[in-house]
Amino acid sequence: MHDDTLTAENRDKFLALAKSYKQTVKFYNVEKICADKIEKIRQIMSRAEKFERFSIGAVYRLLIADILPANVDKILYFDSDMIINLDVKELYDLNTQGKPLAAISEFDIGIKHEEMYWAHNLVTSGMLKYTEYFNSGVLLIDLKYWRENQNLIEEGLNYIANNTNCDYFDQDVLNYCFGKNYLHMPAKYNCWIPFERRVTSDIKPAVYHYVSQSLRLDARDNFNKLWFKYFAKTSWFSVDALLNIGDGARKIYNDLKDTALRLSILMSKKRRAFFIPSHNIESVTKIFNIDADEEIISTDSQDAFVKMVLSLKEARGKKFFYLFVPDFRAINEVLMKNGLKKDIDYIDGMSLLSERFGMVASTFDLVKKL
Amino acid sequence: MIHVCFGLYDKDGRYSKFTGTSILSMFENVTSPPPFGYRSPFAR
Repeated sequence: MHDDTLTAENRDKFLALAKSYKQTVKFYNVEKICADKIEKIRQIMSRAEKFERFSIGAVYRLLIADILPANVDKILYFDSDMIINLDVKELYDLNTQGKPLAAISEFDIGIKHEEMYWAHNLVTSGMLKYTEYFNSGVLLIDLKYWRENQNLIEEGLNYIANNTNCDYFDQDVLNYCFGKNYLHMPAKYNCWIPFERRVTSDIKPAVYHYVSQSLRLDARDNFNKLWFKYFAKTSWFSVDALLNIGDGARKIYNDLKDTALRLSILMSKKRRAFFIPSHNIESVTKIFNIDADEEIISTDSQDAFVKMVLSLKEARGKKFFYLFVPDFRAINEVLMKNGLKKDIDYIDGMSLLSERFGMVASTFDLVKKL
Repeated sequence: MIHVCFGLYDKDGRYSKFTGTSILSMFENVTSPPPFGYRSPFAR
């Protein structure tokens, strides 16, 4: 299922890929086939609180029953950040037992209740137990059931748009509709890479889901190697892809040099100050060799953020803050609204820490450049 | 016959490689023979 963003070049690559394995690929332009329904969904989504964060592509799966031919009554749906490291036949042959779909609950995937913030609206309202909320990345769908109950999806769309501050619009719609009536599949059909990495480095027959940009350019990890093993067999693996990685690496190298130079100039004119969680003060003091006369504000102290902003404004031009906060982006937005400037008045302290200090190098931006 | 579906919204043309890699991984692990010969993808 696609729209006009699928280029002719990529379409040809998909065709050649299928041909090389003696399989078939068909293309369904959702924007053309379901123009009216897509427009209706856009109107409904525009009422949702986080509308600007949603991609219309994420809702294509909600229209599967309308898009596929009537003679297709069962379908496996996968997100694209998957490696299917087993024969799909074992998954496809599961009997949904008359239920509209089969899926894996996020509880079974390994997500703890308190971590499942994106499901809170459906769970705290009492509509679903947190053990019922499923991930929509892998679905075995009974299309006959969906076609016979078409009103359910629209009902779900309207409910979610009117009642929730949701992060995963399409997933919440599906859970609203089917969270109490689906076949729970084994977790091996939706293994999240961040959780797998915590417990093993062994690759097994499973469907691996590279959520949260967990795919990295890091040869030390078997899960990265698994993805690249398959990628290297596709026609997207090319000279251009490799050189794009080089371009990305060169940009990172130059950005780091510029940051180092800028800090060197700033520190000749300003005093350092730090904004650190209390449990990290000792370690950050050691890493940054903080002097006794350099200011430290604990993020846990009362009115900590206000103190930090006031300190910055009073000593504008004379003080430079290193911030150690979990959500730098949000803090940055607030500081900018207060007239302060990133890399002039403050910096994300975590961005200066390498793997040597336990920080994982996120290389997903480079992967995207392939 | 096994029917499998992916959704693709590819604003900058760089997401297709993820879908393609997923599809290839699936094809690589199919152990049963193909159910039919190659058909024109433009047939609906």
